[in-house]
Amino acid sequence: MRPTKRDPATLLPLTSTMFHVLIALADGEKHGYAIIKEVNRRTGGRLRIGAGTLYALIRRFLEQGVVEESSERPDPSLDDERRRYYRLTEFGRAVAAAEAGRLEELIRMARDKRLVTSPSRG
Amino acid sequence: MERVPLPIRAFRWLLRLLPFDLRFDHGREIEQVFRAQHGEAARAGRPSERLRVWLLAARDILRTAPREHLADARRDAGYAIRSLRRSPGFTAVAMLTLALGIGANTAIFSVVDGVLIRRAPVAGLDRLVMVWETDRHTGTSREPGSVPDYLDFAARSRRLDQVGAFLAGDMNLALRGGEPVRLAGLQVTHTFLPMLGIRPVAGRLFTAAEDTAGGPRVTLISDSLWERAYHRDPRAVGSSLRLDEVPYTIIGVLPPAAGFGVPQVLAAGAYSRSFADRGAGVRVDVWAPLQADVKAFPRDTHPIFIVGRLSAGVAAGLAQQELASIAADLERTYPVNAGRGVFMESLGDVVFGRVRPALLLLMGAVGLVLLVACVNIANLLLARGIARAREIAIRTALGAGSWRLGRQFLIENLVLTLTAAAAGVGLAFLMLRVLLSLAPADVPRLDDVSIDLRVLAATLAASVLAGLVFGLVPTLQVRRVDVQTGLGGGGRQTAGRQASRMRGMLVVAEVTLAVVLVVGAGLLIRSFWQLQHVDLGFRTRGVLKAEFQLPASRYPVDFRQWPNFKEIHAFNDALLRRAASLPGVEAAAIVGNHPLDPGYTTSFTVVGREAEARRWPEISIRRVTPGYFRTVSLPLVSGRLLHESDTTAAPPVIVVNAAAASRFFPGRDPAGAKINFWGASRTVVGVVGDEHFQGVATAAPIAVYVPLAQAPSANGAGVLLVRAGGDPASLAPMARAAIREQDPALAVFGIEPLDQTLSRSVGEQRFTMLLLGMLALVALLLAAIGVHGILSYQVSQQTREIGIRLALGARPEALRQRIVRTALAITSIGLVLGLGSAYLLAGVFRSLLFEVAPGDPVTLTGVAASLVAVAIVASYAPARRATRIDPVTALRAE
Repeated sequence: MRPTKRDPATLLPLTSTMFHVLIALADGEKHGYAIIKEVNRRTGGRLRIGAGTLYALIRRFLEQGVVEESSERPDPSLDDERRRYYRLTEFGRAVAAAEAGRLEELIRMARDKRLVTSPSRG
Repeated sequence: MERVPLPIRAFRWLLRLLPFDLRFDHGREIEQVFRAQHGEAARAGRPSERLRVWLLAARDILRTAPREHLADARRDAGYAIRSLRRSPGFTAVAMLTLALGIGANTAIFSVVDGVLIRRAPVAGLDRLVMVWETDRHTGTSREPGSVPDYLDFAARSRRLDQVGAFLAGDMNLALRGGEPVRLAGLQVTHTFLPMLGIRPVAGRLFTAAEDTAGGPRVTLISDSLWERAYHRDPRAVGSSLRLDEVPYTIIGVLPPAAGFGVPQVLAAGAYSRSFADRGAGVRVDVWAPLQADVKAFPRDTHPIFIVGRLSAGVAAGLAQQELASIAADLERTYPVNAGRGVFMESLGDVVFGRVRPALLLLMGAVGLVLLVACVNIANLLLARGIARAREIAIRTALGAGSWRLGRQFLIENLVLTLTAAAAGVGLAFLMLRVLLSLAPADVPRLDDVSIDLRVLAATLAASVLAGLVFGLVPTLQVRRVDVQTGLGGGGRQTAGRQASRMRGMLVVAEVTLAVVLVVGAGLLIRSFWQLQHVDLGFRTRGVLKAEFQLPASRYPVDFRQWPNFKEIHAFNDALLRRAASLPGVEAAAIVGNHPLDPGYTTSFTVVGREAEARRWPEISIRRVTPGYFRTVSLPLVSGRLLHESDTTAAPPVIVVNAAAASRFFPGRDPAGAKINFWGASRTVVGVVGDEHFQGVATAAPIAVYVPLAQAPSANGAGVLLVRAGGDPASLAPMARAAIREQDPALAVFGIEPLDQTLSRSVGEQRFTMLLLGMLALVALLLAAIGVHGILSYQVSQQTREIGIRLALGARPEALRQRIVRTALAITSIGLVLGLGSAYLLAGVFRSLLFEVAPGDPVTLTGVAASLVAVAIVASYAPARRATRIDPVTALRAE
């Protein structure tokens, strides 16, 4: 059966929490706690995702095909306790990219109106 | 076993708030995260940090849980709507079925609630009683009482702590600048309204001083009259209005509740029914004090209706005994009270007694229809459940839990039932409107009937319950579907046989219930048909009536001059001449009571048989002009009719009806006999046919016809009757004009063709018949859908077998017959069970039937025939489908 080509834009716009989760997974698979810690670190503690919120999102991303489960492996830092790992699918990567593009477009519009004055990074 | 720390245990409890699916899929991970965070806080060494972690985690769960539950419900609802859209046939039939059931139930329950159940607008209705007088000689049990008797009951009874009375009558109201109008009025004792708990909306009630003979002319008006004539101007209280050309001072305004039950009480009385016989929802508009005068109303006249309130803690039986003892005492003391007793009856029974059986029957019928609708729905859902076995198997194989699937079906059914409920509520409003327009106006409290919030809430609750209950059907099926057999298609067969038996039973149940309703409707239709074909003894077609009342101020009634009331006779003669000369009029008459008005009775004797007469019942007196017999085609049996020559000055004469002749003069011609009543000895000159003037369903009573010129009305009431060659309604303006030309200050009322009066007199029977007929039709339709459904299902289940049969040479005709036979078998079982149930419920119908037995063979044959027709019609499409099966396609598909 041929996979259906889905338009990532159908899932936009993402909430900032959703986008942060996808960014966290962009550089490789992670388990849930690792995602929470990375988002917390990257935002300087400004965004603390609760476990309930995170796994509700993961459940939705799994249903939408944005993320997929990787194999369970023991986390070396946790005495062999089994954890489930998640990673972005191709579609999920496209969704994240589409959201980034949407936000970039918004920033460009803000710059055009001189609402944002800092120079863009290369 | 490792002991789980309290924070973790507490957190696990919190996790139960999350939706099951989320908990099932990721609960362990959520707990892992919490443990990790809690552990890090513990290693930091600060207890406050651990508490902070716990609180943050708890807050996150408490926020996430409702959001996720809502998201799941929305998802399921969306899925449900898509799923229902994919089966438009099922969805439409299910929704229509439920909407019909809910709509009919809500509408009729609203009527029953408004009329019977809702609290009566009078205080303590269950303690109020009618005190009727009885007459052993005439056998009547609901007579109005005499004024002296009322005063004695009120003074001597200890078991009634309040007693009141009223007298009904019509009054002319002259409005400034407008046409005089006819109002229904009551004369009441000053105790009457307080006894009912009635408080005025403006002004005050009557005082004891105002309720004495010769007292002031004061009046209370209705809220409705205050609105119509005074636009609720507070200055109406204290102003004057002219009733029957006599000025009265308005002292207050009464709420609508003040007229509660009056038409029903009057209609129940043996006589003095006054405006109750006008039917058509007459409402009391004016009240005046009774100002009882024992000289004007001596003990041998019985004009007033007596109502009492039982003393606290006193049982009705004891009060009845006490009053009976007082009545016996009065009988011993006063010879005019010979044979008179007392009969006490709950006021509620009098007011609601006539309509209660019919309304309760309708409630029962509607309940049956709702049951049929529910059975139909259950049937449809069962079938749908089987059809979805494959879908359930696939989804289960893909990981859907049975709980998840079950919840989805539950939500699907809730969506279906709530949508149907919404449609049902809309239907209910519509149906209620239709019901109220068809209902006979003498059903009490009909004005107050509306769909109220309680009924709406009950309907919604019933729908939700229905959704949950029916939702259990496929949910239970979900648990029993084996994935492998379901995927292989075998699930349909194994689950199908059991479900097929269940469905068969459900359809038989539907048919049974429908048969009960159809039998009931059929009996009422037969009964109504019998009513319509009663020979009334007089003709209504082409006859118009117009009523008036001559006020005593200009048409004095002096009993010393009886029967020579010159002004009244002059008016009648002149009016008759005018009416007879109107274009299109074939015959005209003036009468005291039109032929559908029971009028009143009097005691009488036959000269020479006075001793015998003491045991005779009272006889109806019909005061007529000679043209009456021609106007209503009342035939002459023997002797002669009344003539124009039977004037006031001529010797008093009467004609008797055939019932009176055969009762009092059996086997001989009564002509020449002398009958005494109203102070004169009157010679019988002829015998006429019987008239059913006490109602279509009541046998013609004994009656005498007196020339109006020799027995004018003591209260000035009269009815003009004219017969037209064409449509009598076209005479209405001319009849009104003729009366008003004769006397411009007269109010003319009750102008209508007698056909309409007749139609209204059987309004209640018609209403019950129409409603039950409608419900029976709905039930039949639903049963037909049920039969059609099960046959369609069977055909689809047996596609392979049918294909093989056709391939082997079976004739399509034989297949069709087989299917029709199945339909007939199902309906036959339902018919037998239904007829048996109807027989057991016969007692419920009996009181509503007229000259039809509950086991009427014509009706039962009709019911059987209609069921056979239903079976044939319902089996037509499935039979046709079966014969069109292509054997090759059928075999390949399996």
